[in-house]
Amino acid sequence: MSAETDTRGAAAIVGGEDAATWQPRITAFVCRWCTYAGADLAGTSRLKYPPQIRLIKLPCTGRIDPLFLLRAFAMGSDGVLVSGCHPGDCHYTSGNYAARRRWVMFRELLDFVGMDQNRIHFSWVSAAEGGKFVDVVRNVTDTVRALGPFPGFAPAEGALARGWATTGRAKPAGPAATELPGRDAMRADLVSGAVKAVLGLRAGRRADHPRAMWARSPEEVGLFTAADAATPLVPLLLRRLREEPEGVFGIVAGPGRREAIARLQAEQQIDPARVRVYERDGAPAAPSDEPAWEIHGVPGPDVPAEDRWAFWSAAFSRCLRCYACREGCPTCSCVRCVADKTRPRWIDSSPTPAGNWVWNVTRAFHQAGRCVECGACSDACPVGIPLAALGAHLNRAALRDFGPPAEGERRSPLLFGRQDDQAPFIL
Amino acid sequence: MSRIGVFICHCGENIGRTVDCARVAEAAGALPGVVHAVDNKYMCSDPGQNMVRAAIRDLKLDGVVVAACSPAMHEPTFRRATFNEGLNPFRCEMVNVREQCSWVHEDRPAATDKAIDLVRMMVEKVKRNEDLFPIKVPLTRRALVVGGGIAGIQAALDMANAGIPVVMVEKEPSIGGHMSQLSETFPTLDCSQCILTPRMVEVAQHPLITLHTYSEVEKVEGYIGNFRVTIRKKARSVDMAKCTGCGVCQQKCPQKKIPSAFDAGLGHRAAIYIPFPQAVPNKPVIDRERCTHFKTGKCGVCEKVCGPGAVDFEQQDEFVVENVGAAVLATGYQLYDIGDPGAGLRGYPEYGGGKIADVIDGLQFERLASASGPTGGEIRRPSDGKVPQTVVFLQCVGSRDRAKGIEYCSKICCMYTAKHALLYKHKVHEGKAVVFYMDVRAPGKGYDEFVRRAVEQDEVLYLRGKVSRLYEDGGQIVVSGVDTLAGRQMEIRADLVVLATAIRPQTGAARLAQKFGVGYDGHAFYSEAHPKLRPVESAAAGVMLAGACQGPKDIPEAVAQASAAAAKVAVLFSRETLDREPVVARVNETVCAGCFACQEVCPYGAVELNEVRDRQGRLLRRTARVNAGVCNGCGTCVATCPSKSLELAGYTDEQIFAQISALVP
Repeated sequence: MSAETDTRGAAAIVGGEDAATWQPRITAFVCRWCTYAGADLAGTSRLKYPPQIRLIKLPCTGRIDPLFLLRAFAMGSDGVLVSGCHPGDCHYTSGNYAARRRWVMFRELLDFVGMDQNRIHFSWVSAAEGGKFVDVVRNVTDTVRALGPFPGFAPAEGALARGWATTGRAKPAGPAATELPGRDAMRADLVSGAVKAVLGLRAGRRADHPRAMWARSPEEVGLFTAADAATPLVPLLLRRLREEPEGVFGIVAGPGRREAIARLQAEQQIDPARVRVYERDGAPAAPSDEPAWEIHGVPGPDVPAEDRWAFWSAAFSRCLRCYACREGCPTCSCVRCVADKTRPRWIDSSPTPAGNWVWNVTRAFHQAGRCVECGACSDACPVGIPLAALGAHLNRAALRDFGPPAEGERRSPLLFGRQDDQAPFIL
Repeated sequence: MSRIGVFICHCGENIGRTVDCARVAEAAGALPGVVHAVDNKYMCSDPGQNMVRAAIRDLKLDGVVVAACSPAMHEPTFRRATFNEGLNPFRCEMVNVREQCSWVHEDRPAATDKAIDLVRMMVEKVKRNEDLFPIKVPLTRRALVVGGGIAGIQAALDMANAGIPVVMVEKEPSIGGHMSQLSETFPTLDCSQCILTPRMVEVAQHPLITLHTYSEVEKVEGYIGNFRVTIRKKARSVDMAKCTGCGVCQQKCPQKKIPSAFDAGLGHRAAIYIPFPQAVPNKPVIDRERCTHFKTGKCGVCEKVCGPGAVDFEQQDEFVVENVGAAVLATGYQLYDIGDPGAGLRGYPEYGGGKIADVIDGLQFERLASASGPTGGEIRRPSDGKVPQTVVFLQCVGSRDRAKGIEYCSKICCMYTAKHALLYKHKVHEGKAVVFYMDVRAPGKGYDEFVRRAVEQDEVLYLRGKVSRLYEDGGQIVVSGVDTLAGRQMEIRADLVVLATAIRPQTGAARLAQKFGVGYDGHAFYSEAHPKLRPVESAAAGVMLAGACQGPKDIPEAVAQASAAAAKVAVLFSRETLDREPVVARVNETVCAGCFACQEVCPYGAVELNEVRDRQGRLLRRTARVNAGVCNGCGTCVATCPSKSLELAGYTDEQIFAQISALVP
């Protein structure tokens, strides 16, 4: 499947045809109540539009997963249209509000990694707007035709040689701790049996890279190091809580890990009664105001989209699909990852350019607005893809587009679509 | 291997003219899993349907793809044929090659290629279709009516007389709505209250109608057949059980100069008041914002004079939960306010912006002309009480004017303006009545005759044109406009000006619609499910529409729509249980992590908590579970789930993935 996917890029299809007569393939995902009915009205009114578009009918725009769009590109589409009911008109009241937030973030992500925004279009077309449907289809077809065939997800020629640092800047370390606070409390809790074990860091073979360790006895607490690092701890805690349905476990956590634990609590993944946190200092959890591309040394918006595409497609092409990013991420908390789903296999499992691209973008999208910016993904990546930049950028974008979350709200902002959300790119 | 039959319809010439149906059939026949592919002149005809049935029977098909018109047209037809041949109807799908190919494209090869692509995609989907079974849900045979105007009253009485218990919610202290304010009704000039008040009393006395006045719908849960509606009964400050409606309280109340909403601001009422003499229920309510006791803690006269001791200053808002199976929304209209229309609309500062006392709107004129009104039915102008000698009526104020934000026609103004002019002439014989109009629209039984009567018998002067400005001068109002038929500027000195202002939905109409999941247009008029074939149903199953909340309407139309809505409810209630489309979400509980993102985005609250326990009863995991009776099948949860642990029956990931994967051959 994967090899087939790659050769099915539009460029391959176009190969034999004359460039002058080339026509784009447009795939449209439309809701059943508004846009599908609007297309019907265009038909009954005998309006005309270019014949390159193929409609896929879904109950609601809320059903449309970004994976559909990526799959459509992988399967030879040159452009995609997503269309549904106007805000306030949703047959299901609010499905399109959830959809709109999803699109705002997904579009932001694709733009960040340099995908041409003119290949993906969104519109509201009601059942009464046959004329608008025709205008939208014409507009989208003309725009995509001007862009030419979708080049596929393989890195552009010479993309690696464009002078970008291939790994992100290291995350600034927090204040160097000389002593780990709370050792006495840990020992006391282990002796009394208040906690079954405490998770912390001990010195590793590399001085700058401590290892995770479960301390089960007061003596083992002495092995904990005062140094801090991005070594994954929260994922280990989550796994242990799932494997052992009873008992309280401790964790040594600085502000970043405490934020991750708070988010997992909000997402009902961690029962607060089963976790005891031994606080320590460390790098602050609060995201800085510094743009993500500055922190992580990746191309920012001032770099042309073409070069951003070159950078990220080259970076993603190195991916080995070891999923270390996922395993290290404190908020990647699914029991079964979408990348491991087999019926259907949305994401090619072997490290092909298309599969890699879809995986890395999907992983980042799932962190949109909920990334704790611990840097564990970048840190874990054996081939140095600056993954942390994606989550950090989407956090800032979510804050900009959806405003600060409600007091104490730690769930993904994508869940709280509202009628008055703004998305000026929607036709 | 699947055994799929593909049937391509020519729709006479409609499809066949632009799509090469034989080539589509040939291409479909070559697809893996397709055992039968044919084209036919009319698939929806009996012989066409019989072809499908014969193929299912003889070739043992396990899937049917009909490439024809829109599924909105004939999907039920072909699914029924499939079902009648013993195959699950959800194994039949339609490809829309008429509305999406032949009618919108001219290039025959391109349209044919597109039809082939669409057929291939649908074949791949149908291969993955499963048997689905309609979900049977129980039914509460009880209906809610929101709004106690003439539409709500008619719907409630029709349903109650058919034996359906009805709960009526009215936000004002009395039912009756705008019709109770009218003087006489066009075109017969019968007295509005004389025909309405017996109906109001009937509602109050009907054993099957529960009336909640001074109440609003707070919350709606559930779905067709099983709504749970929370009603806020606002504190009336009067104990309805004790009050006898004697009216002493409102006579003794020292606050008597409060503008009466019933008299459209032209008359006065007390702080404790019965809105009008025929009110139902005929019991008072205290206006807490105006009552001296509530403002300063003093007074309390009403409490002292009340014999039965019904006045209760401590009363609180009360919440009542009613279970109903269907609802009729009949929330009516309000008039455009030229001073402050709100909702982003521009007012009419050029007409005085509501500040000129003798520039009034249609409802105010109704009160002046009404025998029960503040002037006892004499036409006297509000400023000085004099009988106006010249009255100018302006039509289309706010309506049909894009610059003012409303492009629609308010429909009833032509008729009521003619009625107003005629009533004025009947009461002030020597007076002069002038109407400025854009077009006179009088399409109704006896309507045009009525307008002609105003013009010919009662000598009302009709001038075609717009008025640019109204201003006060020496106790009169100068009407400065243009007579476009004569092509001249005109100025008329009037004693009273009556504006036929636009009909708008009630404030809060959109909020109520959102509670019921009913769609509405840009002006917040409620949207019907189909403009022609389902004009009294909303797209929200089990919620019907009646009266001006759906669009401007006169009384007979509102009544007709209300009766139709009542009939729709009766049809719904004629069944034992309800069948719902089995397009619902389900959770794969073995991989669900229980993050409940799905619960957050579900518009229906259909996601519930499921606890996975071991044999000792210890809690192992929490997962989501979808209540199929509550789920409406939008699939928002499915796309939200990060691990894709939800599926939507009929639109599963596998089906959509297969469709996308079949985009190119």
